[in-house]
Amino acid sequence: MAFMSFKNVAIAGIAACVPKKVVKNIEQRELVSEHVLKKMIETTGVIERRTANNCICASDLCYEATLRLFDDMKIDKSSIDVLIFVSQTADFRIPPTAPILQHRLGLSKGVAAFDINLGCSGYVYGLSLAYSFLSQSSINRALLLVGDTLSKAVSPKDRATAFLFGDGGTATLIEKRDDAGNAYFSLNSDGAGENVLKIKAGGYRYPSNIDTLAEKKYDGDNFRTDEQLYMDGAEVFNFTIREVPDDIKKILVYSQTDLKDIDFIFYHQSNKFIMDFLSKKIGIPAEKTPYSIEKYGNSSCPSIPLTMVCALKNKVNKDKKKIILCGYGVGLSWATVLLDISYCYISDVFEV
Amino acid sequence: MKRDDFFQKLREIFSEEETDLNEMTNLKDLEEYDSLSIIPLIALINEHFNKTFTAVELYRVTTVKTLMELIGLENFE
Repeated sequence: MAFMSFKNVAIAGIAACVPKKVVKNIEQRELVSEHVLKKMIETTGVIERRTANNCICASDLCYEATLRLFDDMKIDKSSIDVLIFVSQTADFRIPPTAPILQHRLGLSKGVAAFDINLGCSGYVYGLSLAYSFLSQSSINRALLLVGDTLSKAVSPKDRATAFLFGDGGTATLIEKRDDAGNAYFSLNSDGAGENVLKIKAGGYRYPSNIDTLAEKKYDGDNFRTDEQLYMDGAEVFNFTIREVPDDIKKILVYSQTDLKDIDFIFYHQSNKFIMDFLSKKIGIPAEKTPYSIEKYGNSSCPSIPLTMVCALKNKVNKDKKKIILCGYGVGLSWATVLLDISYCYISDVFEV
Repeated sequence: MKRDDFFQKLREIFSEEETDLNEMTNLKDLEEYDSLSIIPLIALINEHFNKTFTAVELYRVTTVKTLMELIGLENFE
């Protein structure tokens, strides 16, 4: 069982950056009727989302978020010891993006920099690693950069995904603090569900070729290539309601915390219907589960920090806040953390 | 669950408030029986009957009666 607990490590600050291009779903009428579109918007909760143009990568959004965070918090670059980049939309297949960001940000060569390829669970997995590094006496500050441009990976002619995904990049600074309280993690995986969310071709199992680039017709009137994202929405839903409420219960037991003492649960912003249903199963009121999906869609791995920045601006530092973060999706992979957010600096969401 | 309550919930999912939906109604004839309504249907069954079905299992269903058989007729009054 991958349970972990940490003392005296805290999230010190978070910044989020989104592309300035806004796509309003109600205007996307090429694929479906207005009636279906309205129903889709009501179910998924995605009114609008941000999409990156060809010049903007996830790393660029994370880079901008980091500059903003460093500037706002007056962080000395030489104080960073670790850089973790979490994304499914890295700059290149080779090399990894984290060392590129280390150089671009002007961080020291003594920084441990590496990539993690995880999606919706990636922020919590990344945090668990940052907390692990900070349990070492010589490591004082870690930078967790989490971003995706998944809108580039979907087919505009596939109704299951075309209206759902937005892009974003975030920067989270993690550091030691004597008054940070405890953090409790639960990390999980189930590769039996590898096909539920998948880009089949373009890796080394099915290398890119003319056939994988050809648009094909799937389940009814959906079209996509084998190098675009496939999502089985019903199975994602089944997986989520099977695993997530249990994982949250487990973390409450492990940390000996009562659900009523939790100030907020931040879900991965998968889909409004799914999140509403989760809250019903868990028994947490809507005012304790902030969403950002209506404005930014499902941005995959950065959706949790992006929602935190939207919801927590001007709300921390006043009193102690106990929160749960829960990411679930591609892999299948899911992870939950319970931590205190009392001393966290929250920057604004800004555009590039 | 009372049968009439179940029919009413199905009407809401499929936006068929005006239709005389009953055991003999074929779900495949409903305009909104598609991938969008399958998740609310899975949620309905999970919430009220504590059972989980895959989309493939639900797409095999034809009439409302076969859906009730899949869930288990003992669950209906």
